Amino acid sequence: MPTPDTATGVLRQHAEQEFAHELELIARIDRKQRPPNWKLSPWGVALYVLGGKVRGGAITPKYFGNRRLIEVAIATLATDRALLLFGPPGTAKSWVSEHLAAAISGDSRLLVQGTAGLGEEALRYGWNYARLIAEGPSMNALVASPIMVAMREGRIARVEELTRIASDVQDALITILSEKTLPIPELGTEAQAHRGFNVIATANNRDRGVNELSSALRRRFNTVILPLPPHVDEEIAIVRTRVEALGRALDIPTPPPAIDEIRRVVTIFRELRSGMTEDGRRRLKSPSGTLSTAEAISVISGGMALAAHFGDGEVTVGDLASGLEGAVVRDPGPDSIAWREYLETVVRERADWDDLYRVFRERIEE
Amino acid sequence: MSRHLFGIRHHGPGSARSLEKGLRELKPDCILIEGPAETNEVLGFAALPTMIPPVALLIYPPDNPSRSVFYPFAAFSPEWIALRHAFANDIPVRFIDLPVAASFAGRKTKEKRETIDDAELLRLRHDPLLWLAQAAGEDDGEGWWERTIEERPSGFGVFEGIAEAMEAVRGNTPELTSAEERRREDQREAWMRREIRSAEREGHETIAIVCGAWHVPALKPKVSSARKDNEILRSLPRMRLHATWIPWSYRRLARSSGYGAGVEYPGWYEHLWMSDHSPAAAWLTNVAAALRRDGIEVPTSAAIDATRLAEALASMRDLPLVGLRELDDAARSVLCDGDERKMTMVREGLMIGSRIGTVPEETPMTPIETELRREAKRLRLPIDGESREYDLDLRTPFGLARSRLLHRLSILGVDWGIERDVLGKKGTFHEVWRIAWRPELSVRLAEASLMGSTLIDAATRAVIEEAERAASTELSPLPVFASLIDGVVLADLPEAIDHLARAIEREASATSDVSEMMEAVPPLARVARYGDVRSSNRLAVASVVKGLLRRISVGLQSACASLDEGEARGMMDRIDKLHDAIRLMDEDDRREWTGALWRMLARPMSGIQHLSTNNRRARAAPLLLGRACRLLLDSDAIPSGEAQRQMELSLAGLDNTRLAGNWLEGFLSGSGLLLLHDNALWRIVDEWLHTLREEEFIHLLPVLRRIFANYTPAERRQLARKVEKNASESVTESAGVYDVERGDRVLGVVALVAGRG
Repeated sequence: MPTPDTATGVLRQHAEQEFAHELELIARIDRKQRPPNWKLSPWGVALYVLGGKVRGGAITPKYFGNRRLIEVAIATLATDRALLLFGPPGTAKSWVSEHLAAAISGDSRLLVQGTAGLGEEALRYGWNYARLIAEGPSMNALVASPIMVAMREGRIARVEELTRIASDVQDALITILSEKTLPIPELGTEAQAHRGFNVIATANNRDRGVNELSSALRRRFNTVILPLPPHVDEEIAIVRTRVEALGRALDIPTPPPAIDEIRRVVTIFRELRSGMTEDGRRRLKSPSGTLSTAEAISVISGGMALAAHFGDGEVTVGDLASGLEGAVVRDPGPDSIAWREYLETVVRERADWDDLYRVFRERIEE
Repeated sequence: MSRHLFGIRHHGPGSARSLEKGLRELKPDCILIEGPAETNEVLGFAALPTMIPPVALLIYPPDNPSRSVFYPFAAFSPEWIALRHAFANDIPVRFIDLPVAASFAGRKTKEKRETIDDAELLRLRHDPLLWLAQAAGEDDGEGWWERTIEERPSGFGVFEGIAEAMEAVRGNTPELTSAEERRREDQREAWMRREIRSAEREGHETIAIVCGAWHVPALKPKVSSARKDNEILRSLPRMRLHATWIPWSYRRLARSSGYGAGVEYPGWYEHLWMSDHSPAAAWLTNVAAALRRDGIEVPTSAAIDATRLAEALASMRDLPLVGLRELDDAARSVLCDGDERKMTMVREGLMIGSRIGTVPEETPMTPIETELRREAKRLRLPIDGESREYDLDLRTPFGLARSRLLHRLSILGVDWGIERDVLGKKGTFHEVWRIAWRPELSVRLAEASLMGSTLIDAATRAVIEEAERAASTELSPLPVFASLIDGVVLADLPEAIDHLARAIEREASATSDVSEMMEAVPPLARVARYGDVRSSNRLAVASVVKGLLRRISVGLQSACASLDEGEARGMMDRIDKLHDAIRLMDEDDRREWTGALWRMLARPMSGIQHLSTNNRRARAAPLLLGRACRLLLDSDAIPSGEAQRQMELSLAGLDNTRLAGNWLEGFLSGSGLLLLHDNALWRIVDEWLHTLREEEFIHLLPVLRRIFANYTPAERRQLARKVEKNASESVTESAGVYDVERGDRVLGVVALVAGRG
């Protein structure tokens, strides 16, 4: 999620820039043993990601959730196995990956974004053809991929959306991860990984039409599944922190809605997502959308923007309604049935949700 | 003369290992163990090779075995190690704790199946270990003990450390317990001191005392005087109790089973006990093997990687050794691809373990066995290998008692008798059983002791556990509950019936699956109906049925909509069974049910013309509409005229022949008598068939065939005769209207369909 910097005008700063002071703070007190080429010890990395109080200041939590998952992720990177962050969309996979890279290598920029059209040269190396023709094959004519750079410098490389990459291209990673080397047959040489090199990949398990990892590649990864927040209060805390940060960053004059309003949006998302009311008493139809935490955040910040520019400066149910409905009803057929059922059987019966019910009812009747 | 105190943690493998080493070094000439005095006469059986833990000492009043107390032992229980050490070296061994009778007789309220565990240490509400753990900078008392004692390689000096630590804890925790608990603890410790003194008087030189760590400071020499202890122990209540050994299971040793002094994961403890070095690698190899058994491919290298991850995690968490938490995390991430479901598949089996112990045949009979022999004698059912058949008349108290006994045993998995289907007689009053005793049944009977000390208690508990297991593991436990209830009624377990009825009620309010509720009704209805033959709790069940019926009635219509043909057929089956069951119920229930059928039938009629269009998915399937109409007609809820109207409307209104055929199938399937005797309906079907075009008729043939094939041969013969007769009538009556030649062609096929051809 972008967090623009008002001073530089840069729309989004890298984690290691935005949180440079925190990294410095931890580095100063971190006396534990650091794996080769790591900027912090595993303990320090965990502190950076999970937050806490240290002498000289506080570390903001970057990830809300199960501490053990983050510990497993960090310990994985400290061994020579690569890390695969897996899970439904909107569970902060890329966010965690970026912060881990920032804390471990001080650099989160060695990034390959996985797409269906990605070629092998994006994972290995390409050529500067002008040079290649002028000078013939040489190291100078070679264009290193972020992964090759990470190998040479002993840093963390990141691969986003690994499963979107075509299978044969994915498998280029096998040699890199198992042999820790990248052969360059054109030059009769190779690039060897230096200590500290490792790969963090992310992939989501909800997408259709993705390329499953081959079992050979899968074996090179330890998998950590980042779950959707298990508890409603946890999810509300995430949404509130992010919404506040976004509002500040985007200069939206409207204050974020009251906690009760956030709770309602989060509750609606959770209930529809899990197909069950929070009290476990009633089963519901689940719409086709993922209804992730990230979407709840964008519904609320969208509502804030609406209220600021077209409303009276305070987020009302009406400002949230269209975003909410849009997030739920992705497929007009079955999703709108699920949504209507939810309105009639759940929203309608909750006494203090009366205003919500009326607003949505009007929208449907229009 | 010297006493050596070994402060242990009950069922702690680390304690056991240190103890084993300590006893070997000490070479005591007498071993005293914290355990109830009543069991001393049966301790000797533990020396037999056929006694394989987990086993438990069972102590019970012979006149009321359901008030029993258990003392379980696993292979890694320090008390067990001490027992085995004594027998192996031929040293006298004795249990020195206060007799159970003292606390038994003193208790006024009759609590069922209490487990008076001797591990006060763990039961103290204010966990004394927590004090130590906090002093060591940790926040989890159990976990601290685990890491410092249980998971560490053993050492002799550890017991001195424990004694000192406990001294400090006891010295600093003034009022940990209530006055009542305090008094009991004083009595226990006084008794133990007295026993130690008497062993010393007998002239034993080196006495090893194995007790919970908590008691160590109180058992040291010169803590109290013999006179003072006798004062404390004056006027202890007395009571005659029996003791014996029974097999135990890891599942019941686990704390999750409600055993207060239980351990979290017996399987993990056994592993710690069995593996001498690098338990982590061996454990992860086991996890990998278990995953492979479940068909999940796990390479050997993954177990190695997992071990390394576990070690990295332990060092990151500042732990001296890899613990279960690290192993769990590593196994999930490396071996299970992060998938929690794969983890849960193997977790329970490995961590808790499924081991069940055995006891030698020579041990005294368990109360259940005694009860079975007594009952079998009373009911004149000989317990031997010969196979006999009994026809039980449930209307006589004797037959009823026999049936009840056999059903209770079947619930406990002791298949002494096998119930056979009754032919010809009314099943309500008769049961035919073939009984034959097999030796392995003794083993099952002994295992049943795990569940309770009387047959009724054990069977009740077995059912309740099965229901609870279903409630926690099945996505929709309702069908399991329903299937359990039949046997429970026959075995006459009122408590289990109540439990199941409540469980069904609770589950029914949470589920929205009408089909499941429909399946739960028939067995419950049988309970409510035949509750007078069996004197069980029928009123409560009847009210559950009423509640279910109300929910079904609300949801029936939508549950019958949007079904494909196969699903509709399944639903028709459920509707039929429910309809049959409802006939056993009272007038209100019947009205509720026919009301639901009628609403289903009546409401969509206005829109039935749309059935073939897009709206179809919102309406009940025609098959079910036809069925509803038929059932209503059968139970006189609608007059024949209404049925005719419905049929005409449906057959004409459904412009899609296939749907009309479905309606007809729903209406006609089952019995052909209706068509034979109701001429008006016959005429409607007949006329409708005549309106069909040839290809429509051919399309419909399979459906018609299905309808008529289920009629009895006699019905089909009569139908065919009626076809012939009516055909000739219609020719004479209305020759001008019908195309006779065309009709003749159809008749041949109809006759064929009707089974005449």
